[in-house]
Formats: sequence, C-alpha cells, structure tokens
Amino acid sequence: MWFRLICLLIALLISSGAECSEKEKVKKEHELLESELKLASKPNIYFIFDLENRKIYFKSRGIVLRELRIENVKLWGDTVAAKPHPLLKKSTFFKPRRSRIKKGDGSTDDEFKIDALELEDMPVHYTLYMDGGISIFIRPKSEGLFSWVCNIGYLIKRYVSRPVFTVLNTLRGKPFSAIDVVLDKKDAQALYWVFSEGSEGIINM
Amino acid sequence: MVKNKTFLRIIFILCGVLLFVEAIGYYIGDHKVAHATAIDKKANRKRLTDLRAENSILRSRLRSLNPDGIYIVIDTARNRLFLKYGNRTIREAIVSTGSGNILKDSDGRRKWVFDTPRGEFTVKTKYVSPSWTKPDWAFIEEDETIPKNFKDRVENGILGDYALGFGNGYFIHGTLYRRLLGRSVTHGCIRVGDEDLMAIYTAAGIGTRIYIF
Repeated sequence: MWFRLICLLIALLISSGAECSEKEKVKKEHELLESELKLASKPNIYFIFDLENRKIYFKSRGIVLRELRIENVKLWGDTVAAKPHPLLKKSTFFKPRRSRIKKGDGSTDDEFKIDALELEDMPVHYTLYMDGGISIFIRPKSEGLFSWVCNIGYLIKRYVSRPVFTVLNTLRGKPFSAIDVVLDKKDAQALYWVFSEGSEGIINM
Repeated sequence: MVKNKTFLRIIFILCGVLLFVEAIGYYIGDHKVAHATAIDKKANRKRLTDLRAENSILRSRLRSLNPDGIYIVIDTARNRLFLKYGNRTIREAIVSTGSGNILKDSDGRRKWVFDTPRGEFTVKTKYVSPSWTKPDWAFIEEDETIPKNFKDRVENGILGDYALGFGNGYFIHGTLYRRLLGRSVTHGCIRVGDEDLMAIYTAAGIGTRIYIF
C-alpha cells in the first residue's frame, strides 16, 4: 500500500516537473515568435542571436538570408529578454574608413586601382552595444600574436573591469548583460559589415 | 619611514576594497545568468495548450510574410546574388556592389555616399538594352561640367543587355568591367555578368522581392 502511494507520488512529481519545463520551453518560443513577428512586419534586415543553438541569423520577413556559426559563447550578468533590441553603437579600436573620391581621377581600365570599403577592411574584435544595457563582445578564434594580445585585453575586461561595472550597475538598479561571442574571422567581419546602428536584433539565451 | 608605512597601508586597504568589489561583481555577474529567467509575465499566466495554439498561429503569421515565388537575395559583404525559391537556391552569381566611397562637389554642398541600399525592395522596372542617364555625380567625379541638355546625359552600352530597377535610381544591370565582379566598386547599383543577368531578367518579374544585406 505504502509502496504504491510513494510510486504514485513520484510519478506525479515527475510529470508535473516535465510539464513545467515544457511550459517554460513553449513560453520562451511564444516570446521569440511574438518578437520576431514585430521585426518581420517591417521591410528591414534583422538579426537573431540564437545563443542556445550557437547560431546568428540575418533575416528579413521571416526568411533566413544568412546563417553564422558561433564557435563559443559566454554569458555574464542579467538574462536578456527575447525582445527586439536596437543596436546603439559599434565600438572598435580601428574603425574602417571610407575613401574620398578625387575628382577627375581619370584612371583607364588597365590601371584601375580599387579603393573601396570591402569585407577585409572590417574589424574582427569589436563590441556591439545594444539597448537595455546589453554588450556583445565579438572576437575571432585565437590565432597569431595580435590575437593573443587582444585576448589579454579581453581577460582584463572579463575579470577586472566587468565585475566593477556589474556592482556599479546593480547599485544604480540598471540592467547589465555581457555576451562574449567567438566567431570565425570572416563571419565576425560579415556581422560588422551587415549589423548597422539602428538595426534590431533578438537574443535567445 | 612613517610616511612610507602609511602609504603602504592605504595601498593595502585599496587593494582589499578592490578585491572585495571584484569578488562581489564576479559573483553577481556569474550568478544572475545561471539563475534568472526572463519570461514575459503575460505568457506566464496562460495555459500550456493555449500557448501552443497561439504559437502555431504566430508561426503561420510569420510564414505569411515570406515572399511568394522567386525572390532575389544580395549579400553585399561577399558580393553574391542568389536567385531563390523558398529555401532553394536556383542560381548563384558573383556581382559587384557599392564601393562605400564618398564624393563631394566643389562647393561642398552636395555629398554622395556610394553604398548599395539595404533592406527589402521590389523590382519596379525592367529594361532591354538600357541607356544610362548620367546623374550629376558622374560628371562631378570626372571633373566635367554638368550638361544643361538632357540628351548629353544619355549614354548607351554601359549597363549591359538588361536592367532591373528597384527604386531611387538603383538597378541590377550588366557591366563592361567583368574582371571586377566580386569586388565592391559600383556607385550603389548591382553589376552582374551577362549570362547571370539574362537568367535573372527572365526569372524576375515586376514585383519580385529583392533582399539586400
């Protein structure tokens, strides 16, 4: 008798736990879909940082235009709601600069020198500051001395300055979330190229 | 000696305070991510079956926004054009897009930035053997006088065999500079090779959606 009662209780607990986690999943999907529908109803390009599945999607009208694979991701601070967050600022040490055309630079076809802003000119280490106190720090996989030096900078940021900012923002009651994303070099450059200030993105944690 | 000791004490206390703040900050930063969930309160009150039904409606509403039939996707970072139907890529072409360069006129009053526009567009016009009506910047760039007569602006054979306009003077057209395909060299238009251009012209009608990113 007692054994049956205990078994029944355990079965009830397991099923209610499973339903809870299922409900959490469905609720999360609901919020994501609602947010995406808001963005997809405008004729703009928007971004989905699917950190759970380690993907970044460039989308418009609900269709995937391009998909980038996240090599590694680390989260810090407040959890971000799956709502549209506009990009406020892109910050990097060496901003790509546009060339100014010299008038009457009549170069013939054979001596044509290309002076343009191209994908290779884009940085690979940069921070995306989004609305709601979110900062996404993008960096490539460590390769070479420059990358090694940048990674030291990243470690100082992660273990020295970031905890201080966390305390300050907590005292002020402001949200503070930091996301470290490691991408392939070309993908990091492509994200910088496409994700312009004012564009909106959804973060799925 | 005494001053040195006081100085060391201050440094020691400051280091202690910093370490304390660091430890608290690190704990908060790491702890919040592991334990918080940010789900909408409104969705929290709904039943699981209702939520599932709503999700399926949302999914179908999202699908209804997808383009019908053939559409064009242009990746300006890689200088690629994709002719697509649903999730299927029918044709991939190497193209040239905007150089991102800046041109100013001599007074400094007018400025042009040669970027390819981004977002969703539609094919608005289609031309066979198009002529190019040179805008003011084309003369300023060459340091020539802007003509008063319209006829002096028209140039033939520059835009290839076909052109598809998608608004504000931007076109998908052919090119004489085939070896520059794959590079960002244009004034904002999308230059395509002859064979690819013919395929795009044939497949895309007026109203075909274009996505540029």
